[in-house]
Amino acid sequence: MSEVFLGMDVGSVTTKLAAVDRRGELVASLYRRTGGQPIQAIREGLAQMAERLPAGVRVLGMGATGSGRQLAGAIVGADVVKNEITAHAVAALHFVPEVRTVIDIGGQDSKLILLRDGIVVDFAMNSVCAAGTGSFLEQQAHRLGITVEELGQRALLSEHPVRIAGRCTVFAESDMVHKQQMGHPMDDIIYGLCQALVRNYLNNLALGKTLEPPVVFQGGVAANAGVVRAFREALGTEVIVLPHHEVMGALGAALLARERSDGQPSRFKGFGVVQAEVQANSFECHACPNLCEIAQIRMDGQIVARWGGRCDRWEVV
Amino acid sequence: MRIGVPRALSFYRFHPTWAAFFNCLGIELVVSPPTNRATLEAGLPYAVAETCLPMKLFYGHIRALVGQVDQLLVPSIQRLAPGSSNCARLIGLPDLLRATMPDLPPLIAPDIDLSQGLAALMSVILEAGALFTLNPLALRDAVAAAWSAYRSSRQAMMEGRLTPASFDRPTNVVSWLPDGLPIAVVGHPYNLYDPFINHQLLTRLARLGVNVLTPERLGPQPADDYWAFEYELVGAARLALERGVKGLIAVVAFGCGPDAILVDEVQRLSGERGVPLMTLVLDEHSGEAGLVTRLEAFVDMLHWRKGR
Repeated sequence: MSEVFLGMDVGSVTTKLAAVDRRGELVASLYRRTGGQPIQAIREGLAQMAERLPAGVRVLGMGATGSGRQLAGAIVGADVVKNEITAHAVAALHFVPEVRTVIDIGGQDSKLILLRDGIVVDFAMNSVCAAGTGSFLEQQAHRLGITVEELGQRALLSEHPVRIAGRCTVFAESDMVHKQQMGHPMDDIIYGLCQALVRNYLNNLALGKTLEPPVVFQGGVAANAGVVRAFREALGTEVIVLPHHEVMGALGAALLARERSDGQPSRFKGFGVVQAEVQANSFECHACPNLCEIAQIRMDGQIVARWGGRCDRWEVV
Repeated sequence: MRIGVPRALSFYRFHPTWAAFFNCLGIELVVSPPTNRATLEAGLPYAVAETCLPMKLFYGHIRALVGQVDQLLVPSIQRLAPGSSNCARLIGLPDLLRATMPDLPPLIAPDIDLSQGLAALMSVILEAGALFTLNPLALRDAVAAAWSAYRSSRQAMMEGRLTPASFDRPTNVVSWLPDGLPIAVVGHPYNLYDPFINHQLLTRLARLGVNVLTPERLGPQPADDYWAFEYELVGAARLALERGVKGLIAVVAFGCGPDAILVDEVQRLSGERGVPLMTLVLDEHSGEAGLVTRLEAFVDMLHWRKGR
């Protein structure tokens, strides 16, 4: 009978799952949209994952990460609920033990993690603006009438990239329209866009930090060959894109669950939870003038989690 | 007579001083209630969009007092030392208020400028005090009480017995953990001690097992800088680094000019010592997920480093 550790990364745009065996080898993975409905994404994701795993598989541990990690942890029952920085760092270290720089660009978040001798020594996340993340690329691809995958391939064909303003997505878009009207070839505009994204990332996150090789690039945007090329040129070094770059957060969560496991039974509720009736509702708390919006998760009628309050009033279920 | 004090900005530094002064003259101070969402909403219509969140909350706290008090205490704090200057918004507070709110009660708005020496300060106090008493001896006693209250409040904060959140009411905003992971959190006291503005930052850190060292706990440590208050924050960061903190968190308000300089200086200091620095930017967004992720990741990282 096979045994696995599961990891789930519920992000703003996509939900990822990964299963590793006792040795930490990836057994199966899944990448799907969150679609603004994290509960559904968690349940369907788990159901799809069950199909990819051998029948009768035993789950020894469960880890959750991503911005929806609390929700995922409450619904499926997690042994470890960890932030994305730690999860991504653990995953990168697993495949490239000597890694010194991790670039992670997802749907709405971008992260930079610096490691030395196998530990995180510094990190940065994008602060107020989602410019230069996956959502932006996708939106621009849509506007140009091509898929986001095509975007990457076409960027590789560019010989004379045009400069696109990367500070702000609104400016970038108007800049692209202008360059199109001027008659620049599409490939050059697309690669200019990739370069702008990289410039924006380096200006916002890498400020004052040294990005030393080996550099591992992960997250959904790492699938974009144009952005990979732009990073390679901007950093003047090789950029490693791992085969499972898009599920590294989930993989890290699974590895963290493996690390944590001490023979104790897992809190994982089993694949049966996909059958459970999950309801989320929210209410405004009137105990004080803050009027916090409290979200409540019920499974088969029982409250399993609550959050959203500025105080502890509703935190204990 | 009821004198209103907005629970904002300089409250978090000088309230014990003002309270001692007015109590000595037998005058009651009324402090606006702790910040909540309604405070922010009340303040927004009076604030220009580009201003910082602490200013927007200041306006909200003023709104909570209008109609409840006979006068408002809004000093213009200009300079704390020769060659320094306070932020223009803070210097201009009384004027900004008069220009934006037509229904204000009279303002008590002395110019506080410590660069001009004690005699100049005394004459300002005597002038403001003349509104309440013409007895110079009573004023002298009130000034002595104020000065003593200022010093004892600073001392009590260093010893961890008092926080700016508990200046006027008992509250356990933070439980200090002397044996916890030492992290210095530098920022203006109105950004650190108002749990609304920072989403309970200090409590969250304490829950993660952090010994939170604020400038108030570290004690006044002047450093050379043009910006009043800012120079103390840089000094506190330096002292914290000398004491071997494992990490630094700079808490800044979005749109704050002087804070931008703070971040730059603190970055340089922490970089020299190889101590990780994280900057948290406070603005109106109410989502906490990003903040929680950053705090957890930062603390994880420091434990990781420590365990090496």
